[in-house]
Amino acid sequence: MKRPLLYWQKTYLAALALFLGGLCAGFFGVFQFSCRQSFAARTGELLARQHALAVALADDMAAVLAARPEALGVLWQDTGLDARREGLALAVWYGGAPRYNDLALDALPEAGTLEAGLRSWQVRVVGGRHLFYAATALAGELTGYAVTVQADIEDFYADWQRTGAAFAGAGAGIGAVFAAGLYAVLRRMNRPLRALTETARALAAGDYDRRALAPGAPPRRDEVGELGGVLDEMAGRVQAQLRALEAEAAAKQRLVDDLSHEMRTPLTAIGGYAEFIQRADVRGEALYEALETIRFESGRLLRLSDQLVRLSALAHEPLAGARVDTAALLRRAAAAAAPRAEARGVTLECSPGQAPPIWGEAALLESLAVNLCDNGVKACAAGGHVALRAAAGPDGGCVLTVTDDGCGMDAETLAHIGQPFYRADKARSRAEGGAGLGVALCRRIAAAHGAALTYESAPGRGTAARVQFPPAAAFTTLQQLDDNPVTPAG
Amino acid sequence: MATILIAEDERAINDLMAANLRLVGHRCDQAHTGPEALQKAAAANYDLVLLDVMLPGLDGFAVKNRLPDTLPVIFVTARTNLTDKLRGLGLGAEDYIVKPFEILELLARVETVLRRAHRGEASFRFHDLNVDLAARRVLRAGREVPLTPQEYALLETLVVNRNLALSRDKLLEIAWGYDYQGETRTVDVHIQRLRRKLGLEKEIQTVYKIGYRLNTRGED
Repeated sequence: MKRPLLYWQKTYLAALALFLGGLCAGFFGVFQFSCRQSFAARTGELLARQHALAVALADDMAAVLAARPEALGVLWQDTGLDARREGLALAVWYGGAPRYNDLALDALPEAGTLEAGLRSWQVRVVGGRHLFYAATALAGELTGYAVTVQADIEDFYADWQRTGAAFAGAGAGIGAVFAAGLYAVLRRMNRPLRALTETARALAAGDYDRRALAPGAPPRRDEVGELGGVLDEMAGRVQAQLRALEAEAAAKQRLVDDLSHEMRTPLTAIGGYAEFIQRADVRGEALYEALETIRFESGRLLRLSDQLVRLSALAHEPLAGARVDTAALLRRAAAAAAPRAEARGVTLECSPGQAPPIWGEAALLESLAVNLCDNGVKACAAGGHVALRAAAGPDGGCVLTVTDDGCGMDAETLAHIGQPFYRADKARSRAEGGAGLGVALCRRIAAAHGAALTYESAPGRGTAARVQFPPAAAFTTLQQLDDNPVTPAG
Repeated sequence: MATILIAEDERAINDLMAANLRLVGHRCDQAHTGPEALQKAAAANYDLVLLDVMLPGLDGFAVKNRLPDTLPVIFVTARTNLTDKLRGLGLGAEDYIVKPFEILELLARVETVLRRAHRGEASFRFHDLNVDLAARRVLRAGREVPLTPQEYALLETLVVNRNLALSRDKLLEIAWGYDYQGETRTVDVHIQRLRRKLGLEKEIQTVYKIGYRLNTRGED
């Protein structure tokens, strides 16, 4: 069962490998170097001694050969004993055969093949000990003779072995300490990463309140802190986005619920009365009322359907823009709203003034103006006043206002106005066949023209509806509404 | 014959419910807001309240909470939301009916609730007939009219839903039971018998394309 290595484990192994490698290489290098140096020194010293001995012996041999050749053997023995006292062993070859041999070896083949005047040396292991041999072939009248000196350098090797062991031990110890220490450090340093992972996991599981940085804690100033900060930012965004989506979904659901309710009610009336007429013996006035109700409610459904279609169309179709003469627009709107105003005994006054033109669709704008007038008229009792005005706004765009001195709206109503199907006074609004979409529609039309519809109102003091259009210079392209078909405004 | 309070802000629907309930013999009062409903309920004794959930002023649930527990309530609403339905029933409402509803369905539920609360009508008098709904028998001019159980069941259905036309299938369903597999012809036969036995040839009317109706209002 192979589990992949964790990041910190990889880091650990890599660092450990590097360190141990370096340590070993370093120790080994130092050891080798020192060893070689030491060896060179030792052999150098031995060679010097051998040289001195060989030179002295050569002189002695030359003298003895000249005077009493038969005393060579004694000379060699004496020299050999002297050498022994100094820790060396001596051997003299002539013509490849030993004449005096105090060495541990019986034969040293190199000694016979050396050229006169040359020296060679080597190290051999004899009987488990390292022995150093240096041989010089004598020259001049002593040609043919070779002097070999042997020295026991086992101690050198023993020393260096001990040293090597010490190095190894030290290396192992340092390595172990390092391994343990690095492990602890890395494990410790891994903790903030693990904490971050936990936070991220909690976020992924849906706990969007979690943050990497605990409230009140000071932020870290390293990469981990940076990562944590970015993670928190992301979490914040996700949370905000989710909340917005939830709110939107809730609003949509409310809209669907309201729409469903708005439709079921007239349908209930229509179906109910139709069934009533079928089953019951309905005549005369009762019959008339029942049929009238059916007609009225059908009309209401039709109006509702029309408004919904228009709301939806506004969301999806781009505006066909053209220059609209504001004065003419107002006059048309006033004319359209006049009959209803007259029926209620409300005076509708229209003052176009010197308003700048509006860029947009005349039909929609007329619809907007008429709607606002109608609402103003509905808010008034008999004898009330509604004024439809247009003027230039502070930025040069046209400002349309419809003011009435009717019943006004309280703060709660003001907050909800424009929400599809919201009605301040349900009973009255339904009695007049309203579906509650009027203001929502006005808002949409305004928005499609880049304008904002705002209300000012106080209970008992009337209402002012204001549509501020952008100045003509701002119309390079017309704004298209976002893709949501029928969302509540505000 | 019960006294029923209808609390519904949509005038057309309120009137519709009242008209239907009056047809079958109940007395109805109408309210259009929550406070008005409470006011009326406090001023008179009602056998049942039909309560719209979305009333202006005070919603249906709040009104129910302020009504005496002994007063049966049926919630009426356009909301098909299940949680609302459960809440309605959990609040001690007798029943919960969703708009749009069929008249007969509403009447049947009203009837059920009234029966459960023992406020249903005990007997129905009409012309020379006395239909004893408790004892399940009919007296004509004081003398008992022999009716088979099935004939009585059909008569009871017509009486409970009087002045409303019921289809043959509906009559089969109510008077013969859901499981009945027979033909609607048997309804016609039984109707004929009832007409003869009770002298209601004019009152048990055949309604064009729909079915039969027991007319108790005397108009012709």
